[in-house]
Amino acid sequence: MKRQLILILLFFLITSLSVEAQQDKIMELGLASYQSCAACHGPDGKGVKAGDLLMAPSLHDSAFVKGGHSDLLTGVILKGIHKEDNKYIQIMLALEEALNNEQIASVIAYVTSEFGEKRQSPTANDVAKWRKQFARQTGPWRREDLQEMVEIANAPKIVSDLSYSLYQGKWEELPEFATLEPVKTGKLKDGFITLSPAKSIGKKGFGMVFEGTMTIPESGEYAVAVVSDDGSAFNIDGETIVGNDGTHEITTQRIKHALDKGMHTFQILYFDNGAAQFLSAYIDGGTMGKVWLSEVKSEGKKNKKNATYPPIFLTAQNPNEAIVHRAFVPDANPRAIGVGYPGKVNLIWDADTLNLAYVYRGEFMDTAPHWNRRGSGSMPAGAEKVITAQGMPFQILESLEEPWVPFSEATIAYERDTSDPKEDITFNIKHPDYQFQGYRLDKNRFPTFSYQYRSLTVTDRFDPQTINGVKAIVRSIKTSGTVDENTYFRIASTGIQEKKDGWIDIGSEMAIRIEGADPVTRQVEGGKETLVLLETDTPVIITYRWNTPLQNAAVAAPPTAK
Amino acid sequence: MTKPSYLFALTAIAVLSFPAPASCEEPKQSDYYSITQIPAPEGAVVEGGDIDLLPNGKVAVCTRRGQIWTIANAYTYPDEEAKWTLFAEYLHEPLGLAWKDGWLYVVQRPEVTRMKDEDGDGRADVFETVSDDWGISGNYHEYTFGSRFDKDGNLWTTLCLTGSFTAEALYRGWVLRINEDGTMTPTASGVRSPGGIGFNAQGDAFYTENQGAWNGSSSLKWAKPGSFQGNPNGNIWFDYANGAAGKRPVDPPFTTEGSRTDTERGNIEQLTPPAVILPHQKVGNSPTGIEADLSEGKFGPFEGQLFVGDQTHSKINRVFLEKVNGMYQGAVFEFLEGFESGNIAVRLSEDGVLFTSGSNRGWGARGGKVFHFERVNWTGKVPFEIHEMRATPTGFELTFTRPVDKSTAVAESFKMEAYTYIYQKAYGSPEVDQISPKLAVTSVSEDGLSLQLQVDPLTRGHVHELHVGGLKTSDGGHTLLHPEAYYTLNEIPK
Repeated sequence: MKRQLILILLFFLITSLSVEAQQDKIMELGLASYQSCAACHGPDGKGVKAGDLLMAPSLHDSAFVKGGHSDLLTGVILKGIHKEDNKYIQIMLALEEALNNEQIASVIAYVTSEFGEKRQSPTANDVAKWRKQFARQTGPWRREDLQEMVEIANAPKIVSDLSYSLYQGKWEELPEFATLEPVKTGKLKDGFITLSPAKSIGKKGFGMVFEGTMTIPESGEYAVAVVSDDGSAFNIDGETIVGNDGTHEITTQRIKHALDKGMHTFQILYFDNGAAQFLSAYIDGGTMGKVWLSEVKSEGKKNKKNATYPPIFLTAQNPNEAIVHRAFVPDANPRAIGVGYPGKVNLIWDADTLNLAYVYRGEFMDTAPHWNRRGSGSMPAGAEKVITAQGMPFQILESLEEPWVPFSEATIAYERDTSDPKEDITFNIKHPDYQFQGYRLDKNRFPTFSYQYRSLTVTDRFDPQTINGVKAIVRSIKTSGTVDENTYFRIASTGIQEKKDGWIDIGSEMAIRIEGADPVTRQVEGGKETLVLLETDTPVIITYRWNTPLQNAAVAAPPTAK
Repeated sequence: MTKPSYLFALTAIAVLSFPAPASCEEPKQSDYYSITQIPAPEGAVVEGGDIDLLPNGKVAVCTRRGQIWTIANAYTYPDEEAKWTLFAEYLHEPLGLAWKDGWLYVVQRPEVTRMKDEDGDGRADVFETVSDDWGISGNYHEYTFGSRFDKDGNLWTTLCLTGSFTAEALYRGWVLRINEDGTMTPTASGVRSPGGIGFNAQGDAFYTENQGAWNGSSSLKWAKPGSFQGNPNGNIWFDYANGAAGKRPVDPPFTTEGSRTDTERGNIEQLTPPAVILPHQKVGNSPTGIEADLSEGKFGPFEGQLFVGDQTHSKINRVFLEKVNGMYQGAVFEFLEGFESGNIAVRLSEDGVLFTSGSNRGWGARGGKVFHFERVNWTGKVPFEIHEMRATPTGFELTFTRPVDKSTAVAESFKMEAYTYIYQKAYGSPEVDQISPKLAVTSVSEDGLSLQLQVDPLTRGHVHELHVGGLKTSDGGHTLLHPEAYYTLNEIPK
């Protein structure tokens, strides 16, 4: 018994001695490895001066060196930092090839001990693990991402007593878990919600209920968010605060909610019905900032700002029918109306200018931007867009010297806030000579647009046609009422080239032919424009014909979005 | 078929979080109102923006994706199969739907349109522009909400600010009236971010406003012609209104410390205070559709009151309104909760059947579904609720839906806090100027259906938040189903 005790004591003595000896070795290796860093960060870690600038920032100010986040520091050493400005002369290179795990562990020990607040002593094994973790990161870090990582790492721990219950089954929406028998329950000592207990179930479908307590540092309004694929709900103090139910792809639901200082119980409910799985959750607000409650600390999208959605191409209910679609689209005014005709010819008719804005071929419309999140507009999905004429269609010209006036805008001094200087804004305003009246659909749901111009009622209709195997659109403009003298209709204003066969090129992709009136092409500032003089009871027929057959009937490069 | 409530489900497994129910017989919402989900056709996404009831017994709903569906058997489902027909599609985020004289009017972002199915194939083929006399800049936040027709043949619309902050297109931040003959009348200014517009039982128009700049809390506002609703950003358009909405109001103070609405009523003649503040986070977070109970008792005892949806909290609140010294004011009570998504549209039929529909897209909701279409029926049982809360010169008169046990109608059963919000250009406001008035019950009516609550002091411009604790019914000893009331005291009766 006594002998055993002595042996144990002896063992401790030897191991602690050897730890000390090893640490010296680590510092030695750390110093040696640091030499490649010292070239820019300086032997004193304050950064080497080069004129007014530093070669590299001081390590004494680094949140990674100070903060005790060896994992993040490893990430920086492995991958380097993207150079976004010229504040420092040098660039933080990726050292993943240059330094092995042991060297990285030792340089972290050296740097945190010499320049930081508290020495960190990761092992080579730790570094190996982090190396794996960061393997998916292919380029250098952006400072913004590093900042976010530090914030996540520095976030206070607000969760305690976290436990889970795992259920097996397939549902379309959150089931009544209380009526079900869990297949497994357990504690989550790390305090982070994780789907890992469900690993054994794989893609067979499962549900989880997480329950725990969280401590809110101060009373106030917090964002409560749950991100999931498939459904989830976040309950606080027995009440559902934000729901995210149903079978869906990764979706964030976030609600502002008043929380009192102190302890709150919470539950997060989740189900996966068999395909992809994702769950994260956070509380954000007050001085504590964003605190993730989940092991996964993201909303699942690589680049949140440029989040794109799988396209949703609109198709008609019947193949011989047109689709008439109203949504914001690029390169037209907000009252634009899209029409997709059979045969993949499409147009945007602008109910602000009462005129055809452009024609294009291919897929009609990708409405994914409009139908996801708050919805900021749709995208004409096809290609070979040709802008026809811009602005209002008609004008009375006393002579052909008179310019075409863009009528549709006005400006106003905008007193946005009397403490700021006033600024002028420009906004669309209805032209007093025009009033949009709407449209009628025929049996194939082709629209005929209608509007008032002065005393005239005008209809504007389009029919797709094929001319020598090439798609075309035939436009009929009809007026009823007496046309005022010298009323001109501007048909084209870009890329005009008159040809001998009676066709007029409008740009390199399309030619037009005008029937019912004699075209007048005049030279104006910046190019030519083609007009016709309107006459009472005389329709004007315009054929818009692409020069070549559509090369790729599927989606070509979409026009640039705003 | 009622909503599978994971709240109640959780009580079994989450004992730590949920006190056990006092008794199994404690009344609950489902004793009085039943909610039925009417499932949409396979693949359809019915994010309801507004609902109207058609004379042929069908129910029409317009959706944020621009569809208009008509539903047959919506009143009788699931006894009869609900039949959904797509009447129109790809309109521009419509948020107003009204049937009149054979036309279905829809308020979409760019215009008021009326539609008809002339060839009888069940799909609209005539789309006439009734009015497009306002601006849109292309910003997604420029929502246009529409009411049904008033007695003069007007649709009332309310136009959200650009990005909910500025007015970068004509009449953003205004209430406009659109007559069926196409004439547009600029009606009221000062709107920020509305969520719905409708009428009270007397036919006056109200809209819901969301907490934000110049709005300390969300509220129900009286869209009185000529009124200024508080957010000055849209006031640049007075130059275009040709006096239709009166004179341009003077600006409220742009100072960082802000002011109070009640104070500024003395400086800004046209400033109309919120009729009923819907205290932010307490009764909801984003108020939406407004519907008056004109069912003459077929939907419970709340004839003449308003039902107001809340998108975030997935519920419908109840509002009692009265006019005092010429100004509307009143109280909000919680009413129905547990809907499946974020309620936007609320519509009650004359025979007392309520329909609601909405979405959680872009703005989360407690009901976690992407969209819902639900029906509410009254079971015929009367819940114990505060029926009305009226201001008196010395306090409030409370009436109840069921007689109270007079021994419980004592001051100790009541608690009151009064507060207001800062009227400022910054986003929202905390509750400020708190007062805890002294309360006394000065009389209880013989029938036990009303009592007089003396409140000292009454504070003009304050929300008077009432909590009722020990009050019980004389039969069964039930406590109030919703024991809180929030009265906005714009005026103290003389």
